[in-house]
Amino acid sequence: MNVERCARCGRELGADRAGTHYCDACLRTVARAGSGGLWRATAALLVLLVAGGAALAFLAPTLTNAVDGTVRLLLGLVLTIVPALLWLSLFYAQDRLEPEPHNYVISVFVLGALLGGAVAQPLLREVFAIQNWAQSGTLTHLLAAILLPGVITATLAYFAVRFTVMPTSEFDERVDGIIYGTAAALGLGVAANLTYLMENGTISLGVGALHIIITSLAYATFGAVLGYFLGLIHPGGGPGWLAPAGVLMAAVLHGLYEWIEGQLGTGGLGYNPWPSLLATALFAALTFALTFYLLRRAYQSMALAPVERGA
Amino acid sequence: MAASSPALTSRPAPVSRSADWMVLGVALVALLLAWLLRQQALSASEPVTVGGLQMALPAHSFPSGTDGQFAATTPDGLIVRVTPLPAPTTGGDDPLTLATARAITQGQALTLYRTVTTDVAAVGDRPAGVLEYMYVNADSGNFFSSVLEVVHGYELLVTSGDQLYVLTLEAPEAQWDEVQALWPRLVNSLRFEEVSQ
Repeated sequence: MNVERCARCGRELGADRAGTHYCDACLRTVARAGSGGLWRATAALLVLLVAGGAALAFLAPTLTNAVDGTVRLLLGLVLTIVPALLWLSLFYAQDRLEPEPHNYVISVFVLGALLGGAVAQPLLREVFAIQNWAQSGTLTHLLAAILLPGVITATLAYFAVRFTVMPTSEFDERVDGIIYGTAAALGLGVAANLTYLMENGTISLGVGALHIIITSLAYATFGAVLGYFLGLIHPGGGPGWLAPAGVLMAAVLHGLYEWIEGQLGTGGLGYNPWPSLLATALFAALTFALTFYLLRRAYQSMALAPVERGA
Repeated sequence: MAASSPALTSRPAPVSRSADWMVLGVALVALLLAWLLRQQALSASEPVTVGGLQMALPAHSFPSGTDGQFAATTPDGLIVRVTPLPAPTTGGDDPLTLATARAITQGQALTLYRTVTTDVAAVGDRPAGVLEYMYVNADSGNFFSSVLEVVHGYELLVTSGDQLYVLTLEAPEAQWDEVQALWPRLVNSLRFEEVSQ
């Protein structure tokens, strides 16, 4: 007869916990830990990215003459990767019950980047040539942003998770959906930023740097939203229609973000990234707050609810 | 309760294939709608009048003309120009003569200018010369490009009174398909205002 043990502490599960993964103590620990640290870490990362972008934009007029194109290109590459890794680390740190294997998280991130470079960007830039017509009207812009980058990104992130880690035994908590969804979306965001870099040859220290930071922030947000739905479906046992609902929710948020960024950024003749940066930061803060609240509530109810017999 | 209960109260159940099909369906419908939206956006047009010449440009084209020359960039990045010039004193009625003279002028002004074809068309009841040409854009600011930027376009030359109108539609070679798609629409939309006769 197999002895069932807690996946976190390894203690033997009592009869009342048979069929589950964790003992009461571990569940209570997680629920009691709450999300205070996570809230602070997320807020700190948001502030760090916004402050970094703001500093670059503020110093851009001074630094532009002192920094040549090669350095700006390298800076662009660094900015493409570093915020994505910071976000990934943050979400990874939230997996308190049972940390995910590093190689799984990194693999999904890389898969997202590959799908972005091989599927999403060619579809957007070559097949649909969205850059040529999407901004021809307010409604057209909004619909195009939802239907194309929104749906394509969310769908690819869904399949990147669905057919890799989701069927494995590692994908056993709701927060896993957020971790892997964010990892896939961040990979797709890296592909979008690399496309931006390649098209421009380099970046301006002000607008370009902020654009890359904003994109990273936004993709992390959509990934978290999609991931929340993924967690509802698999470990949560939710109905299948939550999958397209999550994709649509992430797509609509993505579309709204792109539309708002376009509306706020194009005042006068030039592009002003400041309103976009602030709006995206606010948007991300609200989304993360809602996601964390739902997660926290789920964990608390998990720890306090009567135990169900496992299947 | 089981359907909405949190993660760890039971072993995860496998995700049904129907969820995947629904996601795929949503994506395909979205792509189809996006394609229709794209077609609608690219086919929409707005009227423009330059001197006595009227035409329909793709909607939301961005005007950029200088020095009395009308120029606009279409939403997909094609350049449209209308250049009013004094009509030639001799040979103005012959479209092929107009086209040949224009090709010689452009050949002197542009880098590696080549005429691909010369043709004859009509704007209303007026004969017009049509040039298909290519040249190398020597002013391209993209220093990171590994190849020269070849511009490929059409020009239509038609006289009205003492004016010669040169309608230009051009773009980098990579967008030649878009140029070919827009050119007939542009030419067919040309009208001369009665008051300008």
